[in-house]
Amino acid sequence: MKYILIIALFVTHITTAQKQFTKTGLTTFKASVDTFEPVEAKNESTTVILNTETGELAALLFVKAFHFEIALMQEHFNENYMDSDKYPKATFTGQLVDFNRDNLASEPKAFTLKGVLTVRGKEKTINTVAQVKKEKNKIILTAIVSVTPEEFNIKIPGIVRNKIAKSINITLHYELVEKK
Amino acid sequence: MSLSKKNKITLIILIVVILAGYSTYKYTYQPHKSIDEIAVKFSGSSQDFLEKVKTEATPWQDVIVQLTGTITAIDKKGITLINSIYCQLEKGNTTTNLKAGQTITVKGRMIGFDDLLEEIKLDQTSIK
Repeated sequence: MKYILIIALFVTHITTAQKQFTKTGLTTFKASVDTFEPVEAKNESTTVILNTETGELAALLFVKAFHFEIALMQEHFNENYMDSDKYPKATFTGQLVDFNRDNLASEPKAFTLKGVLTVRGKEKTINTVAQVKKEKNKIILTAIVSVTPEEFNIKIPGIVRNKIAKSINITLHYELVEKK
Repeated sequence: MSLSKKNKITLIILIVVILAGYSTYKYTYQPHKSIDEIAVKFSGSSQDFLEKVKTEATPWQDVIVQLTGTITAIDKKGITLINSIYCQLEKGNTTTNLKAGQTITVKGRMIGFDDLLEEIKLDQTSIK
């Protein structure tokens, strides 16, 4: 009985120790063109969970939590482009290929990040490179994902077409701590 | 001083252009609405709010709420109430004076129900 208990404790320890996460991950996107007002926003409330045994990664953010410098731009982003009342969330599920937490160091290492990004109910397969490093107990993941508005059925009116970049860069910066 | 008709017209056009420019500028660069300028949609206990959101989440997106509850966890950027409501603090607020187990009232913007962690998320939270 004693042994079973010890084993049980050990097993629970392993299962709880294999995830690292954040609730306040930073996701930014830039769709700026040079000659116009910067079109960019920050989301500092992204939830990200990384399974450190398998490299599986899940992320979720609320579109309305994107903050623009210009309030009017934020309003248009939510109402006209992202339709965020109807599609409040954007999600990503995927994997860091060949991830091994024991190989992480304070110098960033590159891993392929593959998965599916869902925005406005439309899915897009992502294949990019993520830089991952370890800082004390934190795992820090950074990556850039490029998308276009058309991929998510976002229509941009002709009048502003030249003021929004054709290709939009989404920058990820997630500091994952151990899940208790 | 008397102006010629031509000068008067030029002057009027100039004033109109300046006014139009100014109001366009004001409209384009209007500031973000602060939490205090928006009406509170729910005020009460964290438990009641959690139950309401679990029943139907849609009406509660992007609204201002004021919640009272017990702190169950604290991290650098926010606090968790009753294990299920994560409140990300507004810049300028710190968690240093707060302790787990303490009952507090907070005001913030509900951003949604996070199904990954199965919890409610608020941002721009301030301690009342």
